[in-house]
Amino acid sequence: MSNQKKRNFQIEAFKHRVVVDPKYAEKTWSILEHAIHEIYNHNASGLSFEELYRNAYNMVLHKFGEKLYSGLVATMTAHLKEISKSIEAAQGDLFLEELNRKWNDHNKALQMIRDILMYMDRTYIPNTHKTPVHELGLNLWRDNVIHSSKIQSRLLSMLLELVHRERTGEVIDRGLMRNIIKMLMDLGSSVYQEDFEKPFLEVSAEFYMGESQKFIECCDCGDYLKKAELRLNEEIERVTHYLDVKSEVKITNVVEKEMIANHMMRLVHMENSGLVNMLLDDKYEDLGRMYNLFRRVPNGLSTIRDVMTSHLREIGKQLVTDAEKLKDPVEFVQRLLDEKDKYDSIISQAFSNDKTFQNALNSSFEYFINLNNRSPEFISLFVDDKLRKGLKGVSEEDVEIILDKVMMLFRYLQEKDVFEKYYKQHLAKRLLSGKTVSDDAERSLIVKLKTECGYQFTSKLEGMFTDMKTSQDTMQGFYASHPELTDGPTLVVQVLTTGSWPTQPSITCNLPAETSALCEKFRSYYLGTHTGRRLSWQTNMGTADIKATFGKGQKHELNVSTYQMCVLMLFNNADRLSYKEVEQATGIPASDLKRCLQSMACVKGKNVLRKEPMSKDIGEDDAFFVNDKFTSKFYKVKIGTVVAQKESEPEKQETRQRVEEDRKPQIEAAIVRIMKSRRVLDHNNIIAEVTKQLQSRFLANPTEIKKRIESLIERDFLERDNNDRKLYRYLA
Amino acid sequence: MLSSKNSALESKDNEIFEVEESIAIQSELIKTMATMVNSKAYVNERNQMGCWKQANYHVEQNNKIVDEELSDWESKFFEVDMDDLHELFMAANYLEIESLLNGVAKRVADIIKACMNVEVIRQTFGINNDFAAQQEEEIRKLNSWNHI
Repeated sequence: MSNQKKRNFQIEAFKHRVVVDPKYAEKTWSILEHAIHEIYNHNASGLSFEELYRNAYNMVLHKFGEKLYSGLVATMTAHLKEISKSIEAAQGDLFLEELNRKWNDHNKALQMIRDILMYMDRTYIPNTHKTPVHELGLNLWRDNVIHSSKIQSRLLSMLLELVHRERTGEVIDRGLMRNIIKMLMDLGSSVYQEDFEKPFLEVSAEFYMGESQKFIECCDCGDYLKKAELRLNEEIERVTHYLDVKSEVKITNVVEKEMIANHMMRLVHMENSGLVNMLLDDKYEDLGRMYNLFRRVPNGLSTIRDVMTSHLREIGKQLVTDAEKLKDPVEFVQRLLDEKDKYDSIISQAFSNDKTFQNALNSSFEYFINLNNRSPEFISLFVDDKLRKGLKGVSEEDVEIILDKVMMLFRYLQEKDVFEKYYKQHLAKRLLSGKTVSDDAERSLIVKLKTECGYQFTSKLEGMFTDMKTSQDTMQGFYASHPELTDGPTLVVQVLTTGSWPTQPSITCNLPAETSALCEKFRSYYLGTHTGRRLSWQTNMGTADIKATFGKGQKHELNVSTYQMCVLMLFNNADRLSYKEVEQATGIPASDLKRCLQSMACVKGKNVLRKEPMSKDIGEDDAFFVNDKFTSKFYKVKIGTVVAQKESEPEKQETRQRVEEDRKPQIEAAIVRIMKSRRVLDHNNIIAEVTKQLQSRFLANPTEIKKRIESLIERDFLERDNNDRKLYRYLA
Repeated sequence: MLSSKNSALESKDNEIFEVEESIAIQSELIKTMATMVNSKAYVNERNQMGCWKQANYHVEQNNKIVDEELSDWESKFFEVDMDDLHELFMAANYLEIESLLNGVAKRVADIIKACMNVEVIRQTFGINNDFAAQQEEEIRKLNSWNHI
């Protein structure tokens, strides 16, 4: 720096210092150039930072920034070309190590150079919009080393080679990989992507395509999934160790696509090990793995769900249409509950309680339970069995659990009104024969039904319970006011309110004298306190306990139905009775009588009567005697308890008919309700609305709805529109 | 790095100044050099002459004085002749001491403002007129609204 100064003692004038040395720039630059050489040759220790900084500073200050910059570019480029040659010369595996070493050297050198040229970086470069020193250094490295023709492809193939080795189980130098990859990342994301990531993903796709092909030929579904999971985890781990974190999602996509998505259908449907087999064998771990892997690919879960649904529907359909299984209704329902439990468990343990799977399960159950139109009856029978004996000795909580499960099946029913009808019948039998195991359980179930279906559903059922209680009180009152009767036969009467109990045809028979007298006394007592009511005896529903003494003196107490009692009492006055005589004396209808006689004469262990001839069936000409040789281990013998059982065909038809009949007014009521509020509505909409309203009770048949509409038109509740045949109008 | 509280800085004319470290690193340049392990020996070299002393003094004062007083003290400090001002400017630029640089720049700006017209500016700063007469005329015309 020149020391020329002109002191001017006038007003503060100032003279520039002019640089006179023409070779000034040359000299300064050569100092710097020399310094750069030394830095690259690891001789930096001999340099004075301050001096070099000063030189660079002065060059820029005196407007030689251009020269400095272009000199820098040229010098660096020359060095990098040399470096490039030395890397190329490296043999085999040493190639990457050499590259890594030189890269580190370059970075150190670059930092020093940047510090020296700091002033240029701060002033000249922003002004001329040139690339800053550090970035320049990286770009030159990229252009002269990485993208040099001999190095570029070799680098890539070495990197891919190492990844491949690691995938086949070898241990590689992860630290070296990490440094090289980081170098590429430092050079810019496009360098990383173009020079490594893209080819890496392509090669990986090929690799996994091959892997998956190999595995799928030799592995079963569970094993394949284990392997896929392993590979996936391996790739994720690889990324954390030496790749850019943004590559994770890209490589996992590749694995997911090649190993899972491409083979999804084949895996799911694999024979002997596919999804269906896993479901059947409760393979929670395998199922869970499948769920976790498939949720990563599009349509993965829906595939699983669809296969599960169709499988469920298939086995459900088999269940409900298998004649063998249908023989025992209780077994049938238990199987349904077991199946539901099994799948609930699968969904919670393997499918992480996925709601969509739960919905699929529910819809499947709803589908096949309603395939068999006896399901409502069977479910009621199941409940009946439980309430009679199945729940004996079971704790309160467990009772609740079982009832809740039953309610769940109930919800799937489309014909809930059929269930109601059967439930009423079965409940009546339970109450009247006193055979219910737990009153609390009965009431609990009624409450659940009420919560589910509303008050109307259960009001009659509750009425039945009330009647039972009231009858008890009535009996107490009766005996209190007739103390003289305590010595004779004991009468227990249940007074049933007609509307609440299942309708029965009321047929009376001829009661024996002792009994009928007692009954009359009760009738007058009751009507005395309840005027305006009509009582009719339901002789087909009662029971009787009789003490009998047989020929050899054996005494037994027989528990029989009312009909049976009437027949047996006849033999107090006669030794031999023909069928016709019995029929006439008792007035019992033929089919009931035949059944009654059969149960007493033809059933082993209960044959208190002897029949001639000894055939199984009851003929009109048969004769009956008391069986003096009757024996039984027990003192108390039960004959012909009125048990709820599966209906016979004709009975079933009858019940169904009654249900259909009951539906008609309900449909009509719904139509009227809807039309009253809408005034005018077209045919299709009426059908839709009515179906929706009645959905909670039963599935309404459109044909039936149409018939009801016609009927309502006839009765002037509705009219058809004059112009549009499909439009209906409400008539107030 | 020199671990003592004071660093020794040597100027080009071989004067050694003991400067408190916290003040020394107000200069970006010195701060950078301090991080260099192998240039320990060379932290000592300075080229700006007495200006360093002044620069140092200025920085010291800056660190001690509160804002209101600063401007008074500063205006006194910067009332030097052009040569010294120039030296100070160059020193501040070279050593990258921002506060000093700003102070000097402000002073120069004030001087420019105080000049009447272009001629005076040229005289004061010793700038040669390198415009051709024609060019100058054009520029004056363009900027006539500025009352140069």
